[in-house]
Amino acid sequence: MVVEPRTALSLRGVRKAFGPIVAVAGVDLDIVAGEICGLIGPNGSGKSTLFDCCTGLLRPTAGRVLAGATDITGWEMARIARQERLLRSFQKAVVFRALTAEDNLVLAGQMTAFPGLAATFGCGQNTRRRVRELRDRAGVLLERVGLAHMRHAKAGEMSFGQQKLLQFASMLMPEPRTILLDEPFAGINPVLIERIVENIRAVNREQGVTFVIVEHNIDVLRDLSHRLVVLSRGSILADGDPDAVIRDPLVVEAYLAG
Amino acid sequence: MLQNLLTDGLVIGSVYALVSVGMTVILGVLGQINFAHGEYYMAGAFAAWWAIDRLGLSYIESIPLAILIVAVLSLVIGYVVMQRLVDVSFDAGIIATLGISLLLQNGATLLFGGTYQVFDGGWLAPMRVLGEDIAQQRILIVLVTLAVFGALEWLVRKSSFGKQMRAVAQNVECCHVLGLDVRRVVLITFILGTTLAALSGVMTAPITMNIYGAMGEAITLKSFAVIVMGGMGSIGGTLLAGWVLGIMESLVAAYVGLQFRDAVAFTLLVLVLMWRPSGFFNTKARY
Repeated sequence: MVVEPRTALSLRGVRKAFGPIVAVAGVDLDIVAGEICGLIGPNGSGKSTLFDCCTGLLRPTAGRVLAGATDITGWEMARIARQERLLRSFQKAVVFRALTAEDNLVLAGQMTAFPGLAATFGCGQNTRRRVRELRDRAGVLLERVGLAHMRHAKAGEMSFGQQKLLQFASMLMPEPRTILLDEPFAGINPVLIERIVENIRAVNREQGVTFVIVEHNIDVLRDLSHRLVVLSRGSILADGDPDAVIRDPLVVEAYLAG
Repeated sequence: MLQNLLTDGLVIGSVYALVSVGMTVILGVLGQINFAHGEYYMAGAFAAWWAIDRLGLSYIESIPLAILIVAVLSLVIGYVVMQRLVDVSFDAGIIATLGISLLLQNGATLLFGGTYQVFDGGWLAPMRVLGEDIAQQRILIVLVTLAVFGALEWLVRKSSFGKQMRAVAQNVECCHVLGLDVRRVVLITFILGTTLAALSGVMTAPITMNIYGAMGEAITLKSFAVIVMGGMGSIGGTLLAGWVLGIMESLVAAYVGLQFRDAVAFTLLVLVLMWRPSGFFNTKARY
């Protein structure tokens, strides 16, 4: 018996137009649960717009987006994150700058630790235990991304690369199923890039988290991804084994033209 | 005489602090000044008056009922208007809340008439404290204010909801990314803020005795002065600023002239904005 692999994220004819400009021109794509999928393409090929359509920042002009079996088209970003555990990062580092690294992570764990409103006002033993668990988990994750020494430092005082690591750790707090990373390696030094890569691999392997990664650093992505998808002018140009995709003459041409 | 003035100032200052801190938490989380804030103070007083005068309830029974009525009112307003103000510009917030202010003022006039109503309730018997006769209601106001501020400090610093409030205050985008329900936090904070104004209205009405539709106007403007003095978003700062304003008003009314009393808030506001724009006690504005 052949077991169909479960899909983490499915795009069905997703199209997004801004007036006369078509950013995404009808994309069909199935991201298999547990894979690391790289998404590349020249500037303006529609990668970020596609992410925005998947995570509720933009509503597709046409088509549907599914997380597992749930149709999430038109949902708000927070609801997608909360209910489907589908999270995304941005090119910039989105962190609570005035809070410490640890508090950033504790907050990130709120939606799973305290889903109900009443629980957020709690002060009993149960609440204290859950907060303690969040702190412990935050400690483990900070250790994992190599920020243990910054535990009590304000996020705003960290370097850009450290903030991105912190953001990455934050996204792991709410027990995500799928993470979309938008240029996680942009503007980061090679040592930190290596650290992020290791963490993505480890989280994918140990917790089965699915990753879709938009990135211009093709060398890093070729090593990291199980699969590479190339987007050009809003459509999928190539899809498959990273090494084969990168050698594809069509892809080479699109990049040179772009 | 002086001790009397200081006590008076402390009581009035507590009223200001109690109203203003509601405006402070709304400002902190929503990033908007609620220019209808005084109207919830008015609504609280009117709801209690209605409960006493029309339903025949006692003052003590009227307090929770009035707070409940204002909570329901602000649930509706929060849902329809305030939740939408999270990501909008400051001027849109001013127009929206000023609109609500007009609506509530005229709504009260429509329902209860344009004349003054006499508030018949409260505990006005004098009590001897530190060699002075003070109405029980005044002592109660100070005690309730202290209790509310203690509870608020705990809520913001210790509870998970307080953490979420701080998160929304700091970075709405980050909350969206992490799946925090920003609208729920905004709505609950708004209800919390307005019911504090209502509580203040119910507690004060026995002392002011007269209530009318436009009674909240001056309260809104004075609250604005208080939260600027208190450092825009600081809870402790709001309490001290409320007391400072109350005591200054009381002293000015006695030694300079009663007609200058309402000018104190605005004079202080101008002075603070000139010399200490981040407030009297600013250590860390906006929690």
